[in-house]
Amino acid sequence: MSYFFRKEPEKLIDENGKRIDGRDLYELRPIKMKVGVLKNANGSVYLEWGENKVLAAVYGPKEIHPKHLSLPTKTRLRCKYSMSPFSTPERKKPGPPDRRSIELSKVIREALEPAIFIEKYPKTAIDVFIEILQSAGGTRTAGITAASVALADAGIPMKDLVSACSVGKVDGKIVLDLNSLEDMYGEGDMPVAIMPRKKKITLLQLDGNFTREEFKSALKLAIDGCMKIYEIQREAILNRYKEQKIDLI
Amino acid sequence: MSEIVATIRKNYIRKILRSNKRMDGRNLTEYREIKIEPNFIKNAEGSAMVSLGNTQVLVGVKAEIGEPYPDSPDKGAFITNAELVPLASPSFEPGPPDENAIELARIIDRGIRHSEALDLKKLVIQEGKKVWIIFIDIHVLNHDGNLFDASNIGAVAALLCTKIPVAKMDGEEITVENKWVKLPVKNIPVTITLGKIDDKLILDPVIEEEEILDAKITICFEKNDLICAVQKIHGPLTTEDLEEAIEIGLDKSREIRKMIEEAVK
Amino acid sequence: MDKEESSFERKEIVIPGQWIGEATRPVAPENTFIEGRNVYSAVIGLLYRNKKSFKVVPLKGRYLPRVGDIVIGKIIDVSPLMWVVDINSPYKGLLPYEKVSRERKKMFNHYEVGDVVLAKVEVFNYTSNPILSTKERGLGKLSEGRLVRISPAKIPRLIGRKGSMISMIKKETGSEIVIGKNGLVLVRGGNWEKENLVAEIIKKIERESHTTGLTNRIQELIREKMGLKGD
Repeated sequence: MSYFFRKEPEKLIDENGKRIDGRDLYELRPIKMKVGVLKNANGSVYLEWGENKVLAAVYGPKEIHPKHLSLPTKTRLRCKYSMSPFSTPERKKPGPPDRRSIELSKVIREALEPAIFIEKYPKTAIDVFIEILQSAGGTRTAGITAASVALADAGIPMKDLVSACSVGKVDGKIVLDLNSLEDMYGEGDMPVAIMPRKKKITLLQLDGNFTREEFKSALKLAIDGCMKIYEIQREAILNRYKEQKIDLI
Repeated sequence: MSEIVATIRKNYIRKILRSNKRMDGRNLTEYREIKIEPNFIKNAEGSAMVSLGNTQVLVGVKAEIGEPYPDSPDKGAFITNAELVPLASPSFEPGPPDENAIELARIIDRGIRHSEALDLKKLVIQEGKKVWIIFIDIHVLNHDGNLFDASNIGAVAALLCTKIPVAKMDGEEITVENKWVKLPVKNIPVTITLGKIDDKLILDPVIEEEEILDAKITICFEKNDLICAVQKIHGPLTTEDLEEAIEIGLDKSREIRKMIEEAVK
Repeated sequence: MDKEESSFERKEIVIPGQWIGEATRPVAPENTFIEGRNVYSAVIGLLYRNKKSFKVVPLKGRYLPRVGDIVIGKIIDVSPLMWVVDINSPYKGLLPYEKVSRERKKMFNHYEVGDVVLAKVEVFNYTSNPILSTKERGLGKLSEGRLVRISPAKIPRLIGRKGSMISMIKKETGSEIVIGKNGLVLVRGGNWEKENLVAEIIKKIERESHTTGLTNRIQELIREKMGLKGD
């Protein structure tokens, strides 16, 4: 509920191999995804990933402003990742984006762009807004996962979705999908995004200490995790159209 | 609000208003469906997700320990901030709050302040030294008109479900106990917004109506039906308009107050 | 089985990157792409198949102008040579004075900012903005009625196969409906109730465009509503 009572847990993984939130090492947090939640946006997604709550909205393709940013043969993809003031235990001061948000916006854009047929709409812009309403570790991967579905929901032609999740090193073990405590007190964190069809990696960052072997198994685990995320994305898209009654008269 | 509205659309809205109808089928003095979901954000001390038709607003309340203002050493403080985040509307741009966001925050702030909804004296940890500072952050998620009323409902509902820990001061040392108490909320201000098109007053305008309003008025009622804040926006209104607005608003404010109380129970 | 879709059998909802089948021609059908010998969907859409081929109809997306399209646009600016028209697309339409009417005299104040016009896309190739024209008969300013906005991807469904859906709605409700390919529809029904009903029907078609048996359902619904109103 608040930052007043944060303290470092003694152990992040117990003697039975269970993590602090009761998960197994290779288990994702529960994920719920809803497509088409904002009426004004061309495409939108609301995602709950563990205790993360994320909104992604896509506007476009649209006319580009200012005009000089226009590209003659393709669309300009712009991403904005931001955290709402109440999203973190300590209030996040509103205002211009901080250095972390600027960097994340850039890597998120680069994770999404390879999946889009950007040459289809020359001289236009596509704006992707990712708003973190509640953060609990892994917001960038949650943001990418939501945004790629929001892009598809906007009807933008794509080669594939982009699925993302993080892996990390906690109490010496490689684990899937870090929660906020593991993120804060673990030994390493590695967010990964892929285009699932060909398993092309579009985001890869790493913080911490990994041996070569650890890195290898972490990457494999991340890709397996992304494939599970892909199934959830697929389901969410199909559900949007299933929810409305399809009767076969 | 700089959208160019198609003349044909303006004329259509006006034409059907003459027969006391609106585009979405509502009566002139009818609200859209109101939904309140309290405690939406876990990292906030209190929060509420509110929807008013397609308008969606999320309000989070955070508490911090800080110093009191020099002129009110025996009172805590609260700060209201509104963000029109760009994902909410094609007309919202990234950047610092513009005049619309600032006006929105200030109207909500005034309603809460002047109804004395928050008992600031109870937010003192040690007089003159440390007090609770309450941040009310209004996040507009989808803009389909009447942000004021949606934000106010959200702000009040969020305050009503806010809990802060018990803090004590011993010398210079502050101890915060893991014991939570409800925020001292002693009033429920309710804003009612009406728009005027030609000679008709309409309650809870949607964005298409807002774009062609001649004038708009927001009135904040507190319990005992007192008026604690008013803001007129755009063009002129007559005394008769105001009287009518207050009459319509009074009844509605009681209904909405009841809804908020129900939602946070 | 719905008559309108009988030449193609509807299979399923597909998502971007989903494998559809083997490529039979070198050029990918619309809304799909080819990699190697395989065809994949590029959008969220409905996949229809028949014996020889298949097609993907997108469920959403913005309007891209095509030469020959009839669109409904809003005049948003005037310059010394032309009007600028918002056609609900990433590309603004340009309406040069000489594309408005044959009479040269009253060009300048022919349209005003805020006017809604029915226009034809005359030229568009992505190198510059689409050029519109309102010269032909039936084109020009639309001065009254209710404007309904739907996803441009749903316009073909609103029209139906060979116009079956739209002519049914017109006939059953006795209203006039003007369709812009860019997702704007103008309804004139004589009274608010009828216009509201038609607007609701259009919105329903937008929401349920991917379901089967839609034309029949819509017809029943109109009859029910119009019947109730007659009581």
